[in-house]
Amino acid sequence: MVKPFRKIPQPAIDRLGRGSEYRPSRTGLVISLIGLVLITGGVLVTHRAENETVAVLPEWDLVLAARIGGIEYVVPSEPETATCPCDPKPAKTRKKPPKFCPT
Amino acid sequence: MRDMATTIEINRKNARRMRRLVRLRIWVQTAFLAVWLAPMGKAVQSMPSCVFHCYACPLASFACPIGVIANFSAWHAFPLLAVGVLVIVAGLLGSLVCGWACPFGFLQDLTAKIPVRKFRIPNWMGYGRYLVLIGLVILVPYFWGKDHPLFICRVCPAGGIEVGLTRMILGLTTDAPEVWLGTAKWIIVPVFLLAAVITYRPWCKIFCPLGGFLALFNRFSVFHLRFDPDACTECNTCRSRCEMGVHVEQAVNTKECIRCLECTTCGAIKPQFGGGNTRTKE
Repeated sequence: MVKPFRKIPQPAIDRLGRGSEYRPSRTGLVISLIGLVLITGGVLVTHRAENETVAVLPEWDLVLAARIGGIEYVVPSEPETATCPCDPKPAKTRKKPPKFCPT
Repeated sequence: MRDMATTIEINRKNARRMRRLVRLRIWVQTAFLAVWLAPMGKAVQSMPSCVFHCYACPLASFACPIGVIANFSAWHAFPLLAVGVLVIVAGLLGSLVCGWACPFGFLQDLTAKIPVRKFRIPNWMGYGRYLVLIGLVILVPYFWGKDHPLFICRVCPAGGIEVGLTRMILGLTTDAPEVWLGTAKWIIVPVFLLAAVITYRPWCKIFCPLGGFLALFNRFSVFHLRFDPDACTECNTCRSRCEMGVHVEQAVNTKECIRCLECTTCGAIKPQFGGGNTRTKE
């Protein structure tokens, strides 16, 4: 799959025949302009979010929701301590898993 | 066409200037790390960034664009903000942010400094980035939601290292709540770290969906690299310095390039922002 680095004979550089890869900046600017339009759209557009209640949210709120409402880490479970009604010591409480941990 | 003495003189001058610039790269990456890790408040947190950095980190300034796209895909919504930011950056800079601003790339640059024998990853494996982008970032969340084991955040080594590992160590050493990496990440994180030591930027080369997207625009971006035949002394430095396996002798602005600008230290390849004079100024 992978091969180690080694010195290999390299083909000669055809410095005259090779293009300079020079290009005008027009295409890049048009692409950036499209990006700007998308961002403007993202600022203006609202999304209909349906959970327990239906709400209309701006897109940045959804980005924030994606950021904080993701997947949670596995919290190691502690062995349940056996308790009897006569035992005055309360059972060990489990640590609460972190709420916002999207990975 | 100039005579050889002039060519060598121009080449030396360019090379000296570019070597000075490239030496600054590690400091620029460090400065950007301070930007990505600066808690700047909720207003910024809801804005996707243009680099690969886990947004679950409590210090993270911006949201991860890939995580946002995947989440929106799960909600069957189009992420205008995330795609907009990426398209603007791609149109202006291409993959320059990969080489100079990405914190995860910076981490891999640092691990690659460990002096062990390095292996080269073949260029065809770069298509893996598009498989990840289309498969794990768009299709899996769209059809199976966020709970699927192949949802990008569940297999992303950036989250595992920047957040999971850090939180785990904090949980074990301080009073912070104990958290553990999931089974998949227990495998992914060590394998990734080992790969980052024995090869150069394995994530960027094979899997990074963000780098793959930005690299698509390398041929069109305003910032680009330009070959100056009048300054080329055929020294092969450009090809020797490139760690990403770009065939510099054929083209520089390719999908494999992360624009670290190492090849420019040969003196015949020059970074250029926008159009301009095609000839070297004497």
